Amino acid sequence: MSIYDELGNVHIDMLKEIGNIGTGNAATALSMMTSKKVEITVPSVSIVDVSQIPFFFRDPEKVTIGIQLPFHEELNGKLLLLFDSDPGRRILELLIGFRNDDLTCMDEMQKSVFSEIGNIVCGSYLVSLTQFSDLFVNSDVPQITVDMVSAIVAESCLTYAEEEDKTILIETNFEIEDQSQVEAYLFLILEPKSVEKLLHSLGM
Amino acid sequence: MDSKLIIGIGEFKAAKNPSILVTLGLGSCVGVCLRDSASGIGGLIHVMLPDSGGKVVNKPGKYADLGIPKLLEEMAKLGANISRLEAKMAGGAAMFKNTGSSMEVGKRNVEAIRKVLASKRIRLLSEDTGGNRARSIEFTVESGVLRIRKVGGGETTEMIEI
Repeated sequence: MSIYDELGNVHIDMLKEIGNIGTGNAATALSMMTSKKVEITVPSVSIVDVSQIPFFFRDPEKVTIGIQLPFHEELNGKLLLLFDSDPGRRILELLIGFRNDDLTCMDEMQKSVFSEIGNIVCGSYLVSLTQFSDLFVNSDVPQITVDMVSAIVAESCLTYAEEEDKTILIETNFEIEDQSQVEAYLFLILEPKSVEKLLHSLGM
Repeated sequence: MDSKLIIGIGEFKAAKNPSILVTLGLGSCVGVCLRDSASGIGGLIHVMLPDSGGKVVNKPGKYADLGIPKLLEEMAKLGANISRLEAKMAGGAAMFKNTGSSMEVGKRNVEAIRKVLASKRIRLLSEDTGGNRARSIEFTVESGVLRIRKVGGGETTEMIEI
C-alpha cells in the first residue's frame, strides 16, 4: 500500500496550490535576475510511476540542463529544475553576455551561473513550501548535469525508488518574455515519509 | 517488420525473434541484454539497484540479484537454453556531479551484475559502462547487436554499436 494511493483530488489541489505560490515566487526571483518579464503557467500535479518516466516527455531524449537541489530536515527530498538547451543558452547569454553553442562543454563559471539559478529558483519554492507547511528545511549545494531529459528525471527519482514505485511531479512552465515555448520544468521529488508529513501538516 | 518492445525502469522482458528490445534513460541504471542465438530468444532488464538485501519485494526487476534470475526464468519458458546465453550491458554512469552516493550506485550496479552473470556462467561479450552520460539502448535479438545512444559533443546524440 503506497502513500500515493491515499492522495485524492483534494490533496492534488493542495499540492497544486503550493506549486502555484512557490513557482510564483520563483518567477519573481528569475525576473529580477534577468530583468525580463517572467510568467508561469498553472502547474499540473501528477503521480507518476517511476518505471513510466521516459514516456512522460514528448521527446525523452531532448538535451536538457538539469539542476538538482536536495533538501532535508523536517522534509527530505529534492527539487529538480530543467531547462531545454535553447532557453538555457539564452539565460546564460542574458546573465553573463556569453553565448555558448555547446552546453555539453561548460566551464566552471557557466556551471556556477546555472547553479545560482537553481539556488534562487528552487530556494524560492522551498521558502513557500515551508511557509505553507510550517516545516523547516535546509538545502544542500545544487548539482548540475546536461543530458537527455527523461534520464535526468529518472535518475533524480531513483533515490526513493527502493521504498516507493511512484513519485510526484509538479510540472510548471516558465515563459521568459522574448522566448516562445520555453520548456522549463520544476519537479518536487519527496521521500514517501515526507509526503505523509507534508499532508499532515497541511491539516489533511 | 521487427517489433520494438520498450522496457521501463526496473522492468524486464523476454522475447523471440524478430524483436528489438529497447530501454531509455539509463543513468546509474544498467541495461543487461541476454541472448540465446540458437533459439532466437533474447531478454533485457533495466536494473536500478545492485542488491535487494534479501527482503521480500514486489518488483524484483529493480534489483540485479533478483531480476536477472527472473529474466532467465522467462527466457527458459520461451525455450531458451540458459547454458548457451551471452550477455552485453550498458549504463552505470554518474550523472550528477558531486553526488557521492549516486556515483557509487552506478559502479555498484555494474559490479553486482558481473557477479550474477559469472555465477550463472553467462559470458559477458561487451559493455559500455561508466562515464557521466545517460544512455538509451536498443538490442536486436536476431543479430545480437546492441545500439547505444548518448549525448555527445555539440549537444548531438551519438550512437555506437557493441
